[in-house]
Amino acid sequence: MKYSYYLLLFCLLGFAACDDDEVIPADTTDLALTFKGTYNGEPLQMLKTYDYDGTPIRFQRFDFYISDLSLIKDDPSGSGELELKEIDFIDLSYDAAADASAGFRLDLPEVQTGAYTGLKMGIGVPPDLNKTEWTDYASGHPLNDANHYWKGWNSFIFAKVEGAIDADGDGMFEQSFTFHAGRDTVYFDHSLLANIQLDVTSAASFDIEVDVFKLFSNPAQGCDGDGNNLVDLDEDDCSRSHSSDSELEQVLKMMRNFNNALTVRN
Amino acid sequence: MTSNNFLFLFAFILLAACSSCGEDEMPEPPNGGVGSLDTIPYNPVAHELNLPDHFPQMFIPPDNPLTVDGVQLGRRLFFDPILSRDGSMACAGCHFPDRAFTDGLAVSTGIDGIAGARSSMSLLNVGFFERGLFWDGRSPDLETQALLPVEDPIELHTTWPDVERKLREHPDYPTYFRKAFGISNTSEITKTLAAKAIAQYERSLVSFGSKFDQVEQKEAFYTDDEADGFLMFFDVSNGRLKDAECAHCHNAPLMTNDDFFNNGLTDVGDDLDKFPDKGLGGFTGRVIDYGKFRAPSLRNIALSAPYMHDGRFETLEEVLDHYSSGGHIAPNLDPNMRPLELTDVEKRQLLAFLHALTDTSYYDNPLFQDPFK
Repeated sequence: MKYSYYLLLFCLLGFAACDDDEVIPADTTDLALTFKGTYNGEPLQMLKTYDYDGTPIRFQRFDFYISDLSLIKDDPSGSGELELKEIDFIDLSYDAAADASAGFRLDLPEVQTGAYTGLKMGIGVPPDLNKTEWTDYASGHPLNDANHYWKGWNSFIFAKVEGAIDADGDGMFEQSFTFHAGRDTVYFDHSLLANIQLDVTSAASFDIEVDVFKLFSNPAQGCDGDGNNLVDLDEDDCSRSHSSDSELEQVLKMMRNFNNALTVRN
Repeated sequence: MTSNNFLFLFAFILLAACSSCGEDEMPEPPNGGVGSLDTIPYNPVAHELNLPDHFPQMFIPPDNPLTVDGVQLGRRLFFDPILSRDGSMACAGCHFPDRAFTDGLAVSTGIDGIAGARSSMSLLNVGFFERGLFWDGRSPDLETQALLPVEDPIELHTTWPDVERKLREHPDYPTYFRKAFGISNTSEITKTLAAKAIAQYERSLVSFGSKFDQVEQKEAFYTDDEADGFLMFFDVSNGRLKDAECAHCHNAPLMTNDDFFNNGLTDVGDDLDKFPDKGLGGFTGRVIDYGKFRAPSLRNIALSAPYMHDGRFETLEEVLDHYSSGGHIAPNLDPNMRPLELTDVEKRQLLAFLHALTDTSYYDNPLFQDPFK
């Protein structure tokens, strides 16, 4: 019996010691990534009017999931990656100018220091997680969101781009557009090359800009009637895509376009 | 009788009176409701929701777990007009169980006969909503929400100190509060605990017995009209049927995205300031939110007429006509709103599916009914 008391005392002392000596790895630092939406280089602000090749355009929503966010190690073999985050939801639907300029900050504590050649991330929900449903997640989890799950495809909605254009120039934005990307076939990894040096002396921060204008380039077949290499947002068949089989091509193009739309800035 | 004898007799009567208080009886609350409750057992037992697999988990605040006695206390408070100034109206006065916990009116009326500006909302499955309650989202959670109607001058129009006093002096409530929350003294009965109990009761109001749920659990099949309505509602026909765009705001399984939208009810042109009821924007102060209202759950929608935040539509047919029209253009009109030009057949099919969302099985659950009847 007395050994039990010793054991208990030993455990208590052990726990107490853990409280006092929280170990922070010596070779880590804090990293902040700030996602910012832009439109042709300007901060992206909801309901602000921008120019879409001569047509006034406004946005109401721009958001997307990022997944398997990693740093690419400066490794001669070219194979090393340091995973930072499995999944998160980035909502850049800011209506206030200050918020739009500030962006969405993702704090990543205790990241291993070293030299990295860039960032890698998927836009959307990777296939292994996309087998699940929003109802599988507890409150507060990024995937616990009925707004970003589409029962019809059994898929999360990876990204939403919504807004309207004033097609006839009468001041009313009557022609809306909605692009809801989902299903495994539109999930892509994107590598963003950048010289990233992390050392213990200071926290590091980088901006990741996403230019929405670039998402509309290289439109699907039949959606570039104007010949301007931009999606015909004044055409119903081109301006609404919910990733059903018949609408998939435009969403596929848009999700590939993230590769050109993403830029890392120090 | 001498004075000593008189004192003895008085003491005896007092002792006898005290000893007659059994463990299950409510001690007389002396001094305006201040009294010990320690002799009353406090044995909290978890109240289980027993949700089906296709439902999400409900977030339960760690400081207000559902217990059998907590839910029962909340039920009593919900149906008891003690929460109103003149004892004429309870929470249930605007939330009738047989109307999916709405009141069947375009806008609700309080104890003074003054009509409010908005329609009573269904409380079925309200425990799943986390993005702000009421049509305008001004309450972050049920505990906060439950406090407001009591003091609202066009609802129950009283004060919490008055309600607290009535609850402390009540012959039964101190016992119920003790059993629900383990308080030691009637003086510990507060509006916070009352709101917690009501919130527990509201979280217990789960509904998942509709035909939709039966089909989801492979226990039933839709009729042809219901099936086509389902396919249009969720846009899963790959172009065979029209996309009715419903699920953008009313996704499964709760049939709401727990979010706020401008669905084009009011013509404000390009000026969002013109919304007579600014809805979510009135709470957030953000212009982009003007005229946005909570997308209610469509579960039991056939039981909860009239429709919209101001009850402007009396029937589901009128609702479908509105969505078929696309609504009024505005800068923040939800981009998924567009003229659908639904045919009569398509409306009939959508209507059939909406009726498949009706669940009357909760009628048989005594927990959902008035305990005073």
